[in-house]
Amino acid sequence: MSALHKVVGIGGNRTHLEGYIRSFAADPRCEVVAIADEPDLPEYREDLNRALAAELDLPYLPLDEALAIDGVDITCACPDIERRARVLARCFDAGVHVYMDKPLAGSVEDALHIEAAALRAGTVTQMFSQAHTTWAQTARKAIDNGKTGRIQAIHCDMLMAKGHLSGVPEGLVRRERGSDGRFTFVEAKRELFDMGVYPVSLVTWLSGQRVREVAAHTANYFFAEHANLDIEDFGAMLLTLEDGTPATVMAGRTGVHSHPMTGQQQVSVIGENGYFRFADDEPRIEVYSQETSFVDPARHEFDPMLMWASTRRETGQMAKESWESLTPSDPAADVRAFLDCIDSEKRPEVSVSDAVHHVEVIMAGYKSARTGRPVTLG
Amino acid sequence: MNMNWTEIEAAVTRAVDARKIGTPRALRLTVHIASEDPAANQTVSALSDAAMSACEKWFGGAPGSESSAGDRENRRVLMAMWPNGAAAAVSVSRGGSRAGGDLSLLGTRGSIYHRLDGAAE
Repeated sequence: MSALHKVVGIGGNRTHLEGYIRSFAADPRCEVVAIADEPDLPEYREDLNRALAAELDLPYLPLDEALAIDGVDITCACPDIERRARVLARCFDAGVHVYMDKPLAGSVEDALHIEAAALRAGTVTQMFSQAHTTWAQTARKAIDNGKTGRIQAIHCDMLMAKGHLSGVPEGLVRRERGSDGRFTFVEAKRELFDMGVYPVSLVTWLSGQRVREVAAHTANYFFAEHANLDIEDFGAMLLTLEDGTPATVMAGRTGVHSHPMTGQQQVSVIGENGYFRFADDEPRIEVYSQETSFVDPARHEFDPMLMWASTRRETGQMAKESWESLTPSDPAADVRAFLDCIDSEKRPEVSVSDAVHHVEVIMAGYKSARTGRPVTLG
Repeated sequence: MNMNWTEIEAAVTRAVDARKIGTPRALRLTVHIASEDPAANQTVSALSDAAMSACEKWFGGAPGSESSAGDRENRRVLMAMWPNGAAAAVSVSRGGSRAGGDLSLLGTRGSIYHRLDGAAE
């Protein structure tokens, strides 16, 4: 039986395409036909794109050529943040459905540009999020079936326990300057942006509300790499939702030894009926043995934050295995849900318009951190 | 809920003083007290004030700025920033039947976690 969908992946190794495209390839509804990107990229990016294509035994093509392959109807788009508006708009102009990396874009203007192209195309869009993890789905059900009662507050964390702690200069206090539009660096990422999008998307998805006001703080606590680039490794936000409900968000990269597994990923819902916490790896069993003792991974020159599976394979980094979830999340669930939406004409849980709002919130966060004052969204 | 803030604060302080997490930099504290819990007599404002006092000890001084929501009687949510860059997000509330909460203290060399009674879903 031939696949229902022909998929083109945009990006390469050391992008989230590494994981997403393998989920598409594993789904019997899909045939991944090419890895592609814009022509005339920097050499390191094109080499990494070609490396992923070679790993998957796929051709590496210029974007327009890939989009012109007969029957292509989906792109999985992970270009550099700074190129997303142009690349995603090109995809929508070609009339394909787009599975989008997070966050959607590096500015509200770029995000709105992408949304406008998507709405013109009328195709299905979904941004990667945690909405289809087991724990987020459990939270969703508890809210929907009235178990929590009316939401009175939400608190959500994404604290990624990765990266070799390299420390920041004694006495360094971050002075936030706001976004300058640059988000692509080899050795580090802006973590309020990169990690913060997870809790922001969960808070808005679970509450069904948009954010009205943002008060935020950014900091450099853990990594010289971030400090040297003048980008934050930690961010916190106090959000006020449309109906006045408060929400807080903590996001950052806290170092590989700061947590037994990949980090604190949780949402606490304070409802009329009390306190309800939903977390990755809970409920769980815990296993402590010589076999599960975590060994400090070797430092990768181009990935000291341990961001990418491809570099973890290169360094032979072992997985943390002490916790075993009773209800593990399926890493392919988000892609599968996207395909379900295309096939059944359902609205995705996190669409392009939702993703635009996430960018608005995070950019308001940078502004608040810069000015020291809450920012009201329009 | 079996929560004794004095004991929690003391244990965290011992770990901090032993330099187990380097320099403490960020606190996440969520505490929710059920309406009928004996601990409900610890008012929301008293608990949040106690938590902020602990922060002043761990972070070295008073916060430089605060943003807050809610009221001091039933629900208080605040985010505080210290002049040295430290931060705290503290939520203390009461109501309903299900108590619980969690504490995370992030340091430059590691983290402290504590789950208050109230099982995760």
